[in-house]
Amino acid sequence: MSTSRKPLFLRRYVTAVGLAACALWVATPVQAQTPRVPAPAALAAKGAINYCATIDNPPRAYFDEKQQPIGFEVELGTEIAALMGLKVNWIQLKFPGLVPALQAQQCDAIMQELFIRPERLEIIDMVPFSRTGQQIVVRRNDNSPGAGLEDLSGKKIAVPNGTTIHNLAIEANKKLKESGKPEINLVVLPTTTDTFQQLATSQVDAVGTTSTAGAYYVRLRPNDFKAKGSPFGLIGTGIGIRKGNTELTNAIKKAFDTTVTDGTYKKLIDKWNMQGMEL
Amino acid sequence: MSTENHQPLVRAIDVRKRFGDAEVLCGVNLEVHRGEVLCIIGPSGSGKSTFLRCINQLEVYQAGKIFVNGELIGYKEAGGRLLPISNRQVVLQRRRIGMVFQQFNLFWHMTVRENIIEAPIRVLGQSQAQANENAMRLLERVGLSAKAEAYPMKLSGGQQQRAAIARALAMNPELMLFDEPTSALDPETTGEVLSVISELASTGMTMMIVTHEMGFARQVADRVVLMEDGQIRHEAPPDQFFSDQAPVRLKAFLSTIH
Amino acid sequence: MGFDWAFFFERIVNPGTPYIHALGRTVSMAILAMLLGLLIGLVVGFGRLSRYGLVRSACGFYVWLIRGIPVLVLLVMLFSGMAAAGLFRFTDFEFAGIKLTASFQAAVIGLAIHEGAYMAEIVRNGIQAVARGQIEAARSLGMSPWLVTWRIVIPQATRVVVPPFGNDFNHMLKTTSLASVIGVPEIFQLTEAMSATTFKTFELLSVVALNYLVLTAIWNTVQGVIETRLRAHEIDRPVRSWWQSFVVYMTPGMTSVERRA
Repeated sequence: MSTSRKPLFLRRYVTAVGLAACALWVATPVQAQTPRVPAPAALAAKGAINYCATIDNPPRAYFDEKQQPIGFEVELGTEIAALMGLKVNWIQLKFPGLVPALQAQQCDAIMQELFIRPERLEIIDMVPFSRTGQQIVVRRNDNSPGAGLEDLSGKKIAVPNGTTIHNLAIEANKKLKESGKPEINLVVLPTTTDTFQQLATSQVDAVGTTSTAGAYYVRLRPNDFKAKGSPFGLIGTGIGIRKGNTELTNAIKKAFDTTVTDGTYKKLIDKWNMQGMEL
Repeated sequence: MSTENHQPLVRAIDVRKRFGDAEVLCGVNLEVHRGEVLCIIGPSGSGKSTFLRCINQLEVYQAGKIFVNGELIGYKEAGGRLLPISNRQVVLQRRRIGMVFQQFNLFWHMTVRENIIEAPIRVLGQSQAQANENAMRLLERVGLSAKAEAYPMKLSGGQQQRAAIARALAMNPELMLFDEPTSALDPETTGEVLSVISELASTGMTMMIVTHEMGFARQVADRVVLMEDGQIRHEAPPDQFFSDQAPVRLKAFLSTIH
Repeated sequence: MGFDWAFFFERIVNPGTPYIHALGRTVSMAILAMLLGLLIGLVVGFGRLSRYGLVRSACGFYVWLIRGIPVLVLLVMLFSGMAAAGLFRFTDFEFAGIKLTASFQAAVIGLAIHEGAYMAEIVRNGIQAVARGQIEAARSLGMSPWLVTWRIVIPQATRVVVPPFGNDFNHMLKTTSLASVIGVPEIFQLTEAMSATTFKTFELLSVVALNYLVLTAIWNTVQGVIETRLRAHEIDRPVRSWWQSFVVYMTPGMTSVERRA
């Protein structure tokens, strides 16, 4: 449009560079890079992985004020998915509904503080990612003696339905009954949060929970709660995958190992105050 | 209680009643003598049923006086004024008056016999045996012995109405009020009810019957009364009432019925 | 994964003591809530027909409020909400050797409050269903207001009220499952717990569904016999005793109404 004094070759040079830049920009796929861990074909096609979780278990997985999932497992799960080049869909369920949902293929993996137990391994495959234990939490001003479940004979304890601590409490009651002592008064509620609410309002004397959740709530309200006794029953937790879905199991294992080697895992452990709970 | 037999059983003096703004009874004056059968006829809305219902206090009149057997109905005189009587007294006053309704109103959750013995036992304090004996006698009289254990829903209209008459009679009333007893019946069954009412009349029961059955009124009444716009317009023995000497307005009304 | 029939039958035939206790809680919650709900319904239902405007309004407000809140929300509000606000806290209570836990009490009371609002409308409708003519006939026979109410109004209103009351009890047997959320160890909560440990979710849910089905089937028969007895006035065959009632109820086609003109 203008009668430029610039030499013709300079204009053509600028145009060529511009076109090349455009070509490069258009040619670049939405994913900035090919995933470091290849995802199973079905998931790669979808571009996303479905995780089942209760998302009611701080600090591992819970909702912030904006109703967004946050927590150690949320970030770990997102990181693992990202390594496979996948986005994450969270499906929130109650604890007893997790394994059935996995089996019904409503989710691809259970991203939850799921204890690795022989009975479970018969039903699903698991990729270990952390450790945890059981913990009893009481009110700050509770100075009753003893440190174990059986010392709670005659007291009221709240536990989430279907969890390991729930079963441990039932076992303890059997033993107490045999030895002629009063049983633990078990209050079974849908979620961990419910149990701590009951403790806060003095509707129960103690809460049975995992050591991570216990540590979290005690740190949150040190004037109200304290741990009773040390964590017991230390056990590994694993990501749950359907039996036979070896492709996904291997992919997740590989992705997890990657987070360990590149330091992401350690960062998350520190961020969420889960020292001592790492694998 | 002493009553002189030549005094009228029922005396209504200038009875007035209004429903809200509408005046339904505008000064009714009437006397009914013991053993007399009085038929009341008139166009709908004339206040016939309302007047009847004032006598056994299903409606409350606001002015005038009604006496049954010398007793003031619904009020007591105190210092020249009329004060309403208590509920208890109302209940007592109703006992001696029996009523038969257009819609029969048998208690549908009880058998015919149970309907009849209910008030004698609960209100009069009769024994089961006595009440039952009476009931069976009354059922015989109205021709319903076979239906003693039947439920009202299983009876025809005429049978229900006859049972209702027996129920009212079980209380041994001194006055019987009939509020259009056959209006809800078809022509075939009307006859059986009218014959029961006739038979009752012949026993000397004092009766006030609101009806549209002219033939029946002519046959059974001692006196016929025409009510219109809340007042009594004409009263005469049936022969005079239905004859050619009847007033023009009455004739006009009668022609609309036939 | 096939259906584990052996496991299914085992759980039906041999449910285990904790489950039997849970079943007892389901049934007792339903019965207690219905009785208390009936009481509330009678008070509020009559109140809706009171001559005092304030009473009518208060009862109307109760019905409107409770019918506008889901049962689940009501239960959690009673149990956790009130405690959290420091208003009221249910505590365990022992009565004649039976332990009534805080959650059980909250469940019964919550279910009763909910049922009461619906019963109030049923009761009110039942009372208003008594024809004026029936009452006038009773009065004209010299029956006192007390006699009219007890011998005529209530027997007739009862016949109108019993069928919907029976339906509500059927409903209540199943609604008790919501009590699991506030910690009552009834059959649904136990089912969820066993699911988590045994992973036989579908089999366990089938068992609990069957339990509810049996409970409601038993009640449906009881209700049917009671209703048949109360409908003696319109049935052709005599139903003067409970056994006659049962026989007539079970005979197909016998409870149809035959009316004469």
